Amino acid sequence: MPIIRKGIFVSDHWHECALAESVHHHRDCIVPFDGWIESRARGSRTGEAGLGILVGPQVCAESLQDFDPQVQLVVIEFSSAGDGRGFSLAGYVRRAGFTGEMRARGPLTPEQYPHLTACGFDTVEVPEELAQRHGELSWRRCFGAYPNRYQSALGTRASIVQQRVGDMDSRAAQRGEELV
Amino acid sequence: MSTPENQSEIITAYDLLDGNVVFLTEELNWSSERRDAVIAAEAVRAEQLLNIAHSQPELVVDAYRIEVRIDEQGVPQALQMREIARLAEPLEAGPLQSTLRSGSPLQSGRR
Amino acid sequence: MYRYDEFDHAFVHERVAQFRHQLQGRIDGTLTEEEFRPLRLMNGVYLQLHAYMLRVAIPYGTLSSVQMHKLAELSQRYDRGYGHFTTRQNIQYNWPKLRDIPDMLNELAEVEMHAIQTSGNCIRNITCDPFAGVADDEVEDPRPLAELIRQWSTLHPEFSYLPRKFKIAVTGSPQDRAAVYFHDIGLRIVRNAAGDTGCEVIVGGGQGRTPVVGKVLAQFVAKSKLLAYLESILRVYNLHGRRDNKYKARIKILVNSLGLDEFRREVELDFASPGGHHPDLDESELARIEQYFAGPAYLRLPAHNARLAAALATDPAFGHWYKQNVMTHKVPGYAAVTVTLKNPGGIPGDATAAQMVALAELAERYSFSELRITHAQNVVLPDVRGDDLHRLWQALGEHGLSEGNRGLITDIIACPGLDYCTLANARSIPIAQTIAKQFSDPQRQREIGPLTINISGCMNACGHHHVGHIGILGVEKGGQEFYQITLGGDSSLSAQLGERLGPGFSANEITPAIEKLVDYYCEHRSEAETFLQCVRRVGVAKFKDVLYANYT
Repeated sequence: MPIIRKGIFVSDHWHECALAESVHHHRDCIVPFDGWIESRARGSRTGEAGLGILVGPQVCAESLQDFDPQVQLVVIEFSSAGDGRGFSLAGYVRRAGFTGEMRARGPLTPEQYPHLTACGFDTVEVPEELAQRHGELSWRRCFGAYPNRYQSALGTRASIVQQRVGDMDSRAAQRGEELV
Repeated sequence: MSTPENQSEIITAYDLLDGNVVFLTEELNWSSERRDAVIAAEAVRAEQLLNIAHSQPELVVDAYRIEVRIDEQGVPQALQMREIARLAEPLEAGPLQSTLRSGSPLQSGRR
Repeated sequence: MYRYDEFDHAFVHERVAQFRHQLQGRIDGTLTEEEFRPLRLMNGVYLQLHAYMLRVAIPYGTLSSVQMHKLAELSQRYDRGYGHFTTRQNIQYNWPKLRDIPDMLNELAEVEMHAIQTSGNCIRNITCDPFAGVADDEVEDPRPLAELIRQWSTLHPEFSYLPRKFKIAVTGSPQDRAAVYFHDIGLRIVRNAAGDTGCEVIVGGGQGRTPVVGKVLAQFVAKSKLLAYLESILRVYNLHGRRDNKYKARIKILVNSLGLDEFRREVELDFASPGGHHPDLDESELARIEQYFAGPAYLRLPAHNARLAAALATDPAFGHWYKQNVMTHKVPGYAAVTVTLKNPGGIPGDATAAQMVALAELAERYSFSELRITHAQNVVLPDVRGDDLHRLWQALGEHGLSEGNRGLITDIIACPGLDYCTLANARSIPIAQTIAKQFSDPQRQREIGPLTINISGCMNACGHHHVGHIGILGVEKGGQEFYQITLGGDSSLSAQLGERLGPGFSANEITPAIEKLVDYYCEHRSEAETFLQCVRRVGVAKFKDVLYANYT
């Protein structure tokens, strides 16, 4: 399925694997979340290749607290464009300290791209038919949409509030006032 | 109450860009005049026409079938209360009384 | 009132630009209707029974004369010359063309207005006490918090695809005029023992098919923690609210199924979790917003007003209007005036373009250019000098806006119903008109006293019939419209849902039915007892017996 990164279609080097397979393969593998939890409990290690985890929308959010450095990719599934759980799940993953790639997978539209990036997603994976119909141009446009938002995001942009406060701070500094 | 002989259906929808109520015509385009509506005497034909409507998303939105009776002037009249209200101007519909047979599969309207 | 800075301006203009793209996508087939629908809903664009409908946000019910002028202009240029004010303090246009809506939104953006999130499964307009900032019983003006919450909730990336719509109300007064117990989240500004103000947080209230009175989730949340707390509530709802059944998807269902204690536990777990994403309220940002609500340049006036007293003594019609429609103000010498959009025989909540222009101009002249919209579908001029009341009343009279019926039986709240709405089972406006005409005699109305009738055309209860003193619910039975009566609802802090009295009445029977209830009250009330007080004292059962005494 097509992958979108920074508003353009890119190719993907990840493969879906059942867990046992990934222990021996040298390909980057995405494994289901439950299976990965189990294998960690057993102490099995995967090979040298990259490890990705596939998380469904109904996953217990609290169980997303823990990632070891092996995990390079977390894929969060959206069962439909209206299923907004993934936006919250992404927050749990990022707040747990995960700094790898986070991918949203599902029948998502370009219009949802600003929300996805603000929630900490790096890439989006959509069905081929949708990617063709919406087109890369839409994704690119939406990547640049809403340059300023009101909420402090998990992306890197300062929110409008932070910028206002920043403005006030720098104006106060110019006036020589002390910042409390 | 209508009898099966003059129980018919027409296809209605909303013009996509203007939003006004429209009806599928014989020529398979759309008119805001009810008298222009193509009449389907049978469910099979009505479903066929509905499929045609659904194939025109660039023209209309929310197409569906409504049961009608044809009056003496040949104009389709809605049977269901909600459709009677829909085809009248707001606040100008008189006492509304559906003449639809109860249990009709279309009674809940579209969606 | 709040004024946009460059960020706010840029944001609403960006929003319009994005909607233009989305509409173009719908036209050229890039977006299916199924994909386009949630996008247009999030810009307030409905498809109604006859046409599209545009719902424009009036944040916490406050607007300026400039904005009211623009609303009038839009109704003339793009619609049929009128607008409808709603029970959530918004305005609706019933006949816009989809092709025109980007232009309408652009014009709205020019006057700092928008239609963002007035529909869809997202956080909707934050509503408030329409007398915020001027009521003399207020702990604190709730509007700065409401504005803060509005910005926080606007295009929130995490909460734009909720299980269902989400409604928040804020009140700053012990007398709750914002129905906080009937919202998904209700916030009541209170003082703690140290004298600081913060919020009591009420959750899971609502009307609709399963009406529920909300429950207190937290007795006091400090302002500095409020947004973080709201986020935790929304997060629990977003993750656990039902998505399989539209009719069981509101937060009230979740609170009920988990139980309040478990729900609170989940919220507090999230609230306490570390990680630094909680956007702690920035005090300087709240202070910046509060400055906009500091109040206009009130004059120092004596409490007693000779001109007003003279007018009251000589003009009895004015006196009646004054008694009903004028509320005492926290600033001596001023008053808050309610203009009801409820002429008996008119359409509740509708205003023509000419009336909107008149209201805008009268606000400019008499109320520091500010107006409010109420949950009762009326308009308030919040800051009128006592001196000016008589002149204002006369001017209102020239535009058919001087009906002195605020809170009386003809001040009916009615949803648009089957005349406009696709969800409706029955018409509500003609019923409102018939009842109002029946009771149109001003003297009789005054004798009856405060009595609020709410009419909904279907179970979605947009007319808020569950909290009407008398509630009327339109249903369809056997292809005909029937009207069920509920009694004893109360949207204030003594929150209560009305009780259904029994089988419904036809359109011809409903007004005589209301007459029976009112007559019984008038005959049996004790001294100075309001209708609602009488219902509480005598009991709903008695009224039910009276109503159905000769029912066949």
